[in-house]
Amino acid sequence: MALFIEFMASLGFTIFCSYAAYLSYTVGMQWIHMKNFMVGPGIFPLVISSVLTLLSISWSVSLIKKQGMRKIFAGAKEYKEFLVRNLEYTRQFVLIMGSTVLYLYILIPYLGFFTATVIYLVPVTSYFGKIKVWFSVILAFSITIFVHLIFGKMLGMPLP
Amino acid sequence: MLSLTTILWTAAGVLLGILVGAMPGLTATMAVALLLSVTYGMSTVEALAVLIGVYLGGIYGGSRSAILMNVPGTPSSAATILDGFPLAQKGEPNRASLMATVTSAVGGLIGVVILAVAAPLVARGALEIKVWEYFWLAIFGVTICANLATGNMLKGLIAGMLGLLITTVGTDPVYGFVRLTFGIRPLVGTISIVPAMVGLFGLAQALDSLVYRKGTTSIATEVEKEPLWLLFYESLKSLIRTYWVVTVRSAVIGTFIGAVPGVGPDIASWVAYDTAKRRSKKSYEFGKGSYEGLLASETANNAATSGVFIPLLTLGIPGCAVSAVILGGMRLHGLRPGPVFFIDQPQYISIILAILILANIFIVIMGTAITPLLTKVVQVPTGVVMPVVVVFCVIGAYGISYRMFDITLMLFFGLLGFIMRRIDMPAAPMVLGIVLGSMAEGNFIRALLSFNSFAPFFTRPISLVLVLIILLTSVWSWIRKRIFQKNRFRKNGSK
Repeated sequence: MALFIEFMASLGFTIFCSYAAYLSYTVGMQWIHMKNFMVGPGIFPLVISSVLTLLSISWSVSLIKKQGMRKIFAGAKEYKEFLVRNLEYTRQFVLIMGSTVLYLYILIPYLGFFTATVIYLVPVTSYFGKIKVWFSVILAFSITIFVHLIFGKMLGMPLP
Repeated sequence: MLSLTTILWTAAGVLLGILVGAMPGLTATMAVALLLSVTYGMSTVEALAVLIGVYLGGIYGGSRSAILMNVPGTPSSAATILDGFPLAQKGEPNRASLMATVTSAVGGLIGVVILAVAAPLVARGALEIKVWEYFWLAIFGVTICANLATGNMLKGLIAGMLGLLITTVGTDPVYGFVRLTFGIRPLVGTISIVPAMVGLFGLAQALDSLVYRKGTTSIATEVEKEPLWLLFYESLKSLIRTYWVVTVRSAVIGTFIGAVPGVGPDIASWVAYDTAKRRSKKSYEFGKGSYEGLLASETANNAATSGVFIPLLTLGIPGCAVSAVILGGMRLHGLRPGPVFFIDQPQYISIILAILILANIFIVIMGTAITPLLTKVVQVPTGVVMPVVVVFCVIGAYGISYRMFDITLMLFFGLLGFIMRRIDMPAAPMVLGIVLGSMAEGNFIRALLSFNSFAPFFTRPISLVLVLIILLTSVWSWIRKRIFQKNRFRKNGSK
């Protein structure tokens, strides 16, 4: 399954880089005509995205050469076992990403950075670190005070 | 020569620099820029002491989070994570931190000696580097990093090239033309390195640890039990007996690369690491916890901090972003670095050299003193450390331009870094690509505008040497692998 995922990633990169090359080409401005033809702002992204497309194709081809198409697609059939095996990881991912997105886009704008940080750290450290709630509250307040003193006061940095 | 106040300000600067550099997302550039206004009211010498102290401390401090959390505090510490973090995982965070401390100071001091002796000569050589060579230096940096950061160079190159492509989003560095923004206004300015770096390393590491590791486990289950003084003594002894060659070589590499205007410690650490790996008898240990690799990277990036003063003092040209801010600070205090600096204001040369020496000594003292405190991080459960890392990543990403959009960028790069880890694609080449992208493109375009021909890219002597080195380093590892595989096949076949 890992092999199949890597192969799909290499195809995905190829498609993305080809699209980037196409976009760079349609941006135009590869050449500017003043006295003579001169390079324009479109040349560098076009060159880089073209090189990237070739590298991504090499990646896909090297996988096919090393492993063979049969072996690569044989992995795809194991998707059910793969999903079951990775259910726990998926749950963890959703939890941490969900809490981080909530922290960044809901808590910070509406409650301010310090309150949001305390509210974020308490449940996340309690759950993932398996520590007692009172300890995570002390930790959250300590981190927030530290941040306020060092970044806010000493360095004078504006915080989110 | 230096008053007690100046000595104390140097110490304060180094300590602040270490703390800032150790935090993912905060850079030495940021710290120096923030402190510039604080130095207005100080005397010239005190201001120099603070700014130089913060700079050196910041570059050294980046090694701390690199070793302890697999997150480089500054881009110049990206090479340090390759061997620093594995050493921490093996239960040697104190020894690794102390070795990095001692070797950073030694590298810095060697750099000061080269600065004192050879500054005008090195500066003259550095002036021979023109737009073509700058372009190839940027490509060289990315290919070296791609070669080293993983066993699969193809994936490393793809990551590096993606980094270069990312820098084309926004305003181009020559014409000011806006490209590939898809109508997203905040993308009109180029994508800053800080959100990319904290996302690709910091947030990605936090996601990886929280998803795949049990939150109750720590980075290292056991750490060294030996007392600090013994570890320090052993570090010093092994540096003198075993690693003096790699240290001196990396320091020289770091100083000379730092002396090239616009290049800085980022490339220096990778070139020194690559050289150390090629010349090592135990190159197989690199990437798995090799002290040679750790020392090479840390020596070079600190030696480069002395190297950047060569073009700064002799030509008035900053060696990197931080030295550009320091140059601004020097001008504010009435100093005029440049060709006549050595004639008009020679007294400041010896003061700057003295501050550099003092700052490197303070790195050893303070770096050693805070080691036991900082290395406790590796014994704290990852479920507690990593959410705090997320908070610091948010602060770091926001602190560069005070925009929520940079936090969104950090989140994007964090997800990208997490996916890249799943497919074994290294993040370091992408970070270096973003750092060097505008240098590569700007010099590429300017070179073609000057001569309207690709020929000088391959016919100028220094350019030709760089092209050959790039080809050699790219192709050599592939050839070596093929030879190794053939030999192994022959051996197994004969059995």
